[in-house]
Amino acid sequence: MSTPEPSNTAASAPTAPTAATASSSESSSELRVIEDATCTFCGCVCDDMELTVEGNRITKAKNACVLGKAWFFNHHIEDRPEALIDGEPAGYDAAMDRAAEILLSAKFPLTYGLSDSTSEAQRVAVAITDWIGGIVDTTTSVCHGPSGIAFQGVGEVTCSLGEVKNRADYVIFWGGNPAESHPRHFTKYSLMPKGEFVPRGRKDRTAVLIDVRKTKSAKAADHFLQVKPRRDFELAWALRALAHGLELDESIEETTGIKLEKLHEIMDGMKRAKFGVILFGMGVTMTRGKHLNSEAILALTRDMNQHTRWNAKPMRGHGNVTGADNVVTWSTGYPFGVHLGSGFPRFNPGEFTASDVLARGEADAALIIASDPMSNFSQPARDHLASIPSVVLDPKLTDTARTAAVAFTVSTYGINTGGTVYRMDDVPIPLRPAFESPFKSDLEILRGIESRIRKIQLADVSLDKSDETAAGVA
Amino acid sequence: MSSLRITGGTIYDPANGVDGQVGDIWIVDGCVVESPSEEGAKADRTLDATGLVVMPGGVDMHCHIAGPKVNTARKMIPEDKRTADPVVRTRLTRSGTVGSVPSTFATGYLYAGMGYTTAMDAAVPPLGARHAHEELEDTPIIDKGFYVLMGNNHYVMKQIAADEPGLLKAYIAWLLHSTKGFAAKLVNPGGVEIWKSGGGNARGIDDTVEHFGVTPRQIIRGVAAAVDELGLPHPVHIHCNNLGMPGNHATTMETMTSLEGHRAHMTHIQFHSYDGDPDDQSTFGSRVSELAAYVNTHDNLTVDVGQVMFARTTSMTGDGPLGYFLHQVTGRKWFSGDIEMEAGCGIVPIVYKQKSLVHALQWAIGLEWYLLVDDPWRIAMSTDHPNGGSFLAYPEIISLLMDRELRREVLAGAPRAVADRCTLKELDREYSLYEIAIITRAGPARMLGLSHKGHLGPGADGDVTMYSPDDDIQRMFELPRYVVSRGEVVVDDAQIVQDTRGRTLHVAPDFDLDAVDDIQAWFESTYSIQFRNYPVGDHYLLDPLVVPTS
Amino acid sequence: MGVGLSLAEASIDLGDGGCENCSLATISRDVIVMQESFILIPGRTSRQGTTLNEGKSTAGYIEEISTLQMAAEDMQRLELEDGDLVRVYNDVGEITVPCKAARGDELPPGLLFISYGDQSSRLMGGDTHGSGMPDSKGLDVFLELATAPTTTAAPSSESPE
Repeated sequence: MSTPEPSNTAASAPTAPTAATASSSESSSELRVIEDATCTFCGCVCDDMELTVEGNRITKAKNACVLGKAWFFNHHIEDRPEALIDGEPAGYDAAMDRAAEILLSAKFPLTYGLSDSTSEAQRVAVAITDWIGGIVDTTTSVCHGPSGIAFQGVGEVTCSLGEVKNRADYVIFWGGNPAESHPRHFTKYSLMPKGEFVPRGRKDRTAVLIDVRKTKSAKAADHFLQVKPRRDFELAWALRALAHGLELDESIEETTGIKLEKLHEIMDGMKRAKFGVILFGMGVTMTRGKHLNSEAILALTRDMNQHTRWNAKPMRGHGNVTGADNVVTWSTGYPFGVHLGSGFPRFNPGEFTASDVLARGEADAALIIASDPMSNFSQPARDHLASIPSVVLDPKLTDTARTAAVAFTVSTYGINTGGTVYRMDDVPIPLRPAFESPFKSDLEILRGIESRIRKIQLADVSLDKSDETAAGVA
Repeated sequence: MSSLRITGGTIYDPANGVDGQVGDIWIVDGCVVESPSEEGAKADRTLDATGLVVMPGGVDMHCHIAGPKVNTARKMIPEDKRTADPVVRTRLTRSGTVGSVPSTFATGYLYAGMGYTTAMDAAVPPLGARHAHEELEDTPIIDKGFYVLMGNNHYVMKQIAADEPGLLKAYIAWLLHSTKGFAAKLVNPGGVEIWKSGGGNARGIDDTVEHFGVTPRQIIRGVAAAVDELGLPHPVHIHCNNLGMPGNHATTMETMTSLEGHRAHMTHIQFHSYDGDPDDQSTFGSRVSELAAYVNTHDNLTVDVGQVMFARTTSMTGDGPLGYFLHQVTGRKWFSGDIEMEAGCGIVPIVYKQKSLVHALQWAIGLEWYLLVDDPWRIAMSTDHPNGGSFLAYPEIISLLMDRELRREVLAGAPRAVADRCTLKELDREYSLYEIAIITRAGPARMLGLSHKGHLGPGADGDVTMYSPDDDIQRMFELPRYVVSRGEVVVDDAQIVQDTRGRTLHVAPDFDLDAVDDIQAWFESTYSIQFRNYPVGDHYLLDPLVVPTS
Repeated sequence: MGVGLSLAEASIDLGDGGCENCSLATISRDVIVMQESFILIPGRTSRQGTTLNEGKSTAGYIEEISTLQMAAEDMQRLELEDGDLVRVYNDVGEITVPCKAARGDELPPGLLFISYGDQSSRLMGGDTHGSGMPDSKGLDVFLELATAPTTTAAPSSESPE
């Protein structure tokens, strides 16, 4: 009580309420309803879930979309060992010991993933990486990392989703298919809601979809612009030109797939809007141009503010990838692809990002949290990841967990454990877990690994700093 | 029970009238106690402070160090960090980056390293309160808290328009409770809402915010009155309309008079003291004399300066339209973040140059403030970190205040016209160590209503800074010999020797429970999250301290 | 004398994108085969998202991430039917997956769509061009019926003996 606890050890990180503290009943077979629960499957982070829990299963998820329901109904307590060491069942303690060993003996360890984890756990993961001098990168680098890079170049004019709901009368979806990737976005935030300044909801809005495919989302839009593949950059710049009142010639259709006349129509609508927003997705960041595409869209949005109010928002995919950006940034100063091996943070996408560090065979160990790169990364990256010792934390037995030297079965955030997540617009939202799990949370495992690492590191120095200073002793 | 004795130091404790007396300080279990009367009483640990200047730990009452806006600035400007010395990981401490917006661990270590033991973030939107608390928990050593943005809050404006002071007061109390914030903050009241809804700005305190039908004057007066009625430890904290515009002295004066005697803290007042014509930058000048004269004769007011220093830095503010303006003027990259129902934000990297007439005048105007306000208890040192400059510049500001020749040297390196447009050259006043102790610790603590801070009498928190006297004042204040936080030695000879967790200070005023229904109804019809998920739970603050209302 | 031509020698410059279909002939020792070049878009689908939660080893998920959507027009021209196995490859790798006609006019000719996952990742190169993000959408690929005998497709194929 008299000695303030060190702020940077695992033991002192905040404990979010677990299901045990969240509910007051003890009986596991009782039927309970959890209101205001949060779904973390996609970046919408809807916090108006009403979960019916019977024993240790969620049987109803009112307000959840099809993805949310799949999320809630499919994360059960699985009958699996708490950990595996080299594929063999093991207890948590032995597994954490081995994990600490692997991470401490590595010369170039990579911490990756983090987007399906709470900010509390993310903070410990970054702490571990700092102590061992590794690289920390998150799924941002293969999602909206390019948008983050673009933002560092030109800035961003943006707003929270409630602003979109209350004010937006012109909404552009670019390079995304919200109907399938963020199913409630239209109804909860961007198209349907009646807002303070858009009282008639959908009737007060104009919606535009820009994509290479005419997806389900096109039905929701008033205008569909079928852009030629890999021509989003040219299209964004064409709109920038029109925003500045420059002349374009008809050949723009050949380049982008969109008639000049149509571009004029859209730009006129954009200029006459009271509050516009561009919501853009992987169709922009993952294709030819990458961060240059994002940059063009951010610059377009910025430029439009000379005429009227415009905002842009990247559509984030995972529940807490935004939290990962925030945690890595406040801890290190940089958002992703951070190298801590020299004793201080360095940032360089392409040099310190996970895809590169794995594909080039540089990392010699990995700590993978709530992510499955063995399913999603390039072949050279996957081949290399399979060849190095990795420590993996996941509720499910993914391919990544299967190739791990140490795999931890952990409970699921938002279903078994509480904590904090950040919605795609940086709004921090608490989780309300539904039922307990016999498995430890990733936060608990990471704290366990951190404390073992710190114990070894602090014991290493033979001369402890003495209480006596040179200046004088009583 | 652990005890620390600091012996033989030359103590400056203005709150208790101690001006350079040699003496001892005893700290037991983190609190200053009366020196024991028995001869030969021993403490667990003794620091020999013979020859050292001893002051309470520094208190920064206006800086931007945590929360959504600060973190966005960190993300946005990586180049700012590449050329700065990083904070290197040690056996005990985390690594970090510096530049104008340090990372959280670096922030805590750097403040402590400079002898500051308390810092308050000046502007957090309620929707981001949880985020600010998470960052503060990762900001080591210092005690901290934040002010809550209210000046463009839709519910606030609605109740003012509806002439419902009871609901307004209940809401402010409820909001501070829910966010675990410390004070009510107004940033360009009304003006940010005008920007959000159409791109303009408030140009005077009697402009009308359409849709709500209120004026900045009404917002200022309404919130100031509510804060006084609630008896909050710190008065309403005001960033006036028209920040940075030539001629804005008039807005500042109108704001001060609009308070009609209510308490208020006028923040970074340097940015609000300009003469001239907004359409003609060349008429830029200083009107500090008359504004300071008003402050001198109205003790309901306190100010902090918002000193500009010549360096590369970042402007980050809840003043959304100001961000747009700076972007247009400088052409630099620009972030704007509008938060539903509550606030806005603008971030633009900026450089202040000694050779620029306007910048050098801003620098001079800041110093004029320090030198023209008579009562050092009512003026606090700040740079509005990082807007005017980094908090790391405080030692340099101290040296300028204590040495008029130094000021004149810098002035000589600025454009000649600066001296004609302000009174700085003529101001001979030099601050004493006692007065420095007031404007950097005792005064801010008193302004914040923190009776345990900023002094070394019994009952105070055991926050003590010890400096080695040096003719080079800047160096003296940059590198304290020892820094003690709640009785623990945290800095010893420029090293962080203990990585502690500081406390988060917040208020929890009572509020009328009946009002919550109305608040909830409004919330549920407008926000994009659930009402129950808005308040910040207790578990976010590991070591909180509730500061009582009076 | 061998008549083999490596793909690289026979290649035509596809330009910078666009939806042109080029027909490319590669001559093997035995058979002349027509291949088509396409642009592949891996992406999220609702079904991929739901089955992902059920588990990545479930039949539903595997089916979803392995099914290649094609424009009906292209399938007609290539005489492909729903369920036919096609080989899709580029200089990074190759996959063999069943094809299926896209709904209505969802896919323009020349474009292919597949749910993002293990299969699509095999066509993604390791080079991120300094961005951290691999080329993940808008990939140039070749497509052919999988049951036809083929030469090796990689540019670095051995010369025939």
